[in-house]
Amino acid sequence: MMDNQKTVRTLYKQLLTFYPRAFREQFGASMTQTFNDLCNERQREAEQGLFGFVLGIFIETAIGIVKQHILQIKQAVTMKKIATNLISAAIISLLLVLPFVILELVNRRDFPESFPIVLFGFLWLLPVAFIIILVPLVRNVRAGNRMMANPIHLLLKIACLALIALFWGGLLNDQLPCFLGVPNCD
Amino acid sequence: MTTTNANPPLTPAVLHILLALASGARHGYGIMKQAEVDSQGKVKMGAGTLYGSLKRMLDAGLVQESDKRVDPAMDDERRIYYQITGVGKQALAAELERYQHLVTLAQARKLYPQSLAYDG
Repeated sequence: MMDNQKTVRTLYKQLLTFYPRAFREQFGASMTQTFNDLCNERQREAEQGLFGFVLGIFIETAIGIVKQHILQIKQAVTMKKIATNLISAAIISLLLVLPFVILELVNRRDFPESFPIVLFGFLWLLPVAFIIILVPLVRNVRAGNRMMANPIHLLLKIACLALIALFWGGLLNDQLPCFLGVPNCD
Repeated sequence: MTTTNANPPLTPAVLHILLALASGARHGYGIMKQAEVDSQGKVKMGAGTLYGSLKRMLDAGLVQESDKRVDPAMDDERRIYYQITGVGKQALAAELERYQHLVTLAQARKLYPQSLAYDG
């Protein structure tokens, strides 16, 4: 009986190694502990057989392993989507700023100052942030989700969007004469 | 089926885990046993379901690890205890409200089993 229990516990530990690594590291020890508790409980209820009970737990755990792997794949797809969104935002923003970069390069080529990398960095990053905040809001509206479920969160996002738009517009308005080649602008 | 709620419906396992933790922090085995008691023996959660659900609940902020301590009623091994969070309490309340609404609806449509009907 004790040998059986030992074998079963070792087999269960082996089974747990099939879980994704992160999950195993987070819950492996607790799952082993819980399995031991269940085995001890079963032992106290002496007469009932161990085989059916263990088989049930092994099947349930095997299903759990498959589920965790599927979840991991889904999360990887989501991460890929996030990366794609970031790249899209970066490209859209670049396209937005590119005309002003060209204007700057063409109209100020005879001026002694160097290319304003920091300014264009801001002009590029602000629309990236704008798009990253805006896209989930638009998706929620299109999916028909209730926007006012978390009003403070929504207000904060709208305030951020407004601030970014104002700052970007102000910056562009301020620097436009320079892009157009007006002398003595700063 | 799509939902438009900030608190989407919970799976039976998540509901039972939240119910078990609503009365105090518990370790994995303790949650299993409490869920079994709460459901009058109808819910027997396995370790795979329990820890899979706990992972999702931890990620969603419904529960959190409280501490690692010995359960005096069991052996001398230190165990991780889990406790319900504010978000978890909100999700549980929303789910119970949904159940209450369904029961009320079933009663109004006279679908509720006579043996379980109550006057209140």
